[in-house]
Amino acid sequence: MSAGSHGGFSACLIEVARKDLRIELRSWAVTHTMMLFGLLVLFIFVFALPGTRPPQAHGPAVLWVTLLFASVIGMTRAFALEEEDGCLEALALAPADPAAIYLGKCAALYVQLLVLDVILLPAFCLLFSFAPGASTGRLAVVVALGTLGLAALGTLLGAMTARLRGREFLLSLLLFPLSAPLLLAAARGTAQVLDGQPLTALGPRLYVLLTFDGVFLVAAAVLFEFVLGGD
Amino acid sequence: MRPRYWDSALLALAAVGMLLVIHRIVLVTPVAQKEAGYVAQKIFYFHVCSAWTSFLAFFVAAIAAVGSLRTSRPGWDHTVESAIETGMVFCTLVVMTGPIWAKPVWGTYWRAEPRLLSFMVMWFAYAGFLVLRQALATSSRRAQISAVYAIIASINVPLVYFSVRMIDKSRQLHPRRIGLAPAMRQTLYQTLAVFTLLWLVLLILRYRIAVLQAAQAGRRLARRMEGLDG
Repeated sequence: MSAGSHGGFSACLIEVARKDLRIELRSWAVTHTMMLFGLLVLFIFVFALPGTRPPQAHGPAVLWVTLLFASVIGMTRAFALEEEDGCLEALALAPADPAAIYLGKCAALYVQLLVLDVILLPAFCLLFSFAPGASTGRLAVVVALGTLGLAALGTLLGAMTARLRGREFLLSLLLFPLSAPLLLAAARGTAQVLDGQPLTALGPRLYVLLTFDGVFLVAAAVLFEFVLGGD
Repeated sequence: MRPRYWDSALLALAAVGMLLVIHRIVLVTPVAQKEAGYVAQKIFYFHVCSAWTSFLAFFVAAIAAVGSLRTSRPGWDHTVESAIETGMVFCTLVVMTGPIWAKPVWGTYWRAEPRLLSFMVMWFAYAGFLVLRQALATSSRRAQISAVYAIIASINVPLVYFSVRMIDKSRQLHPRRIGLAPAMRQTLYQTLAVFTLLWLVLLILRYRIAVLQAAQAGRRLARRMEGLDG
């Protein structure tokens, strides 16, 4: 079912990504919702955490749990629009490589999640008294890698739950255990980076992040055609 | 569906085997782990064998999922569903027997260490499969979507284990290698054989139920269509 030439694959990928981003650019609805929810969750943590101990200890964990919760909104939205307008069937029947469709949607979701990161990270640093300074670049690397894993998983799971009732709940239920190794590596890595350690000191955490991202991107791209259907 | 007698025989065999093995564990096998008052160590046989059995079940489910995606035959889908449901039974046993054993031996019910964490993640991931399956009850793509999730969940299991091990090296509580006296090793193998047999019997029975449910759904659909015509 592939589109044939290599140019067809990347063209399809780019087209799908551009379509999704263009839709988002028109209304910013998803970004606003994700941003608001993310900031809200951060605030809730600030209220819930003890004021006596310095906030830095819990910081990285709070950041990644917040990103996880907030990104679910983007993930459900990624396919909700298509499902509502009956475009899922159209996508399935289109003579395009399903892997290209998956990677395109994943790329669009990744961009949206990165925008969320850009908004949440400064708020996080403010609320938890972090001043990354020189570590900002390294922090960006860790957060970008972790977010990629979320995008990869979220796109696949979003497609799987698109037509089901209670899809937000179901997507969260399925996403959380699968993203456990990602959270582990990302939170520990963030803690180390904010501590001022160089990227080389992150060792295992980076390997886990890269492995996770790579494995799930490839697996999801291969399996996506079965989720989409059209056989 | 005519009753088949060999699976009743297997069930009887599994039941007898379990009784024999329990007898062996409790009365025959030498005790160990003085610090736990000797008796708690006996949970080891059930705990470890449940763990191996659940791994086997989820592995079989992953293979069946690949088969389901490649051939679209309903038998593979029934196997995925049955293997995961039965595997969850043993996974739940692991998670329950672990803390019971841990308290006398380690002094605590729970610690965030690699094997415990990976089993909890596995439990949640496959519990999610069961919920997903329910939600997909009326979907035409039930088999494919379930299979994709089963494969993803099984890829995740080693990932979780190795990532926790790599990252939190100091936290390892489970011993890596266990030296066992020959008598205890014998008991372990026998228990493992019985647990595997028990799982197989449960799998076969659950598979039957799945086939019956599919047939019933088909008949219901046919009746509805007849009603529309006539």
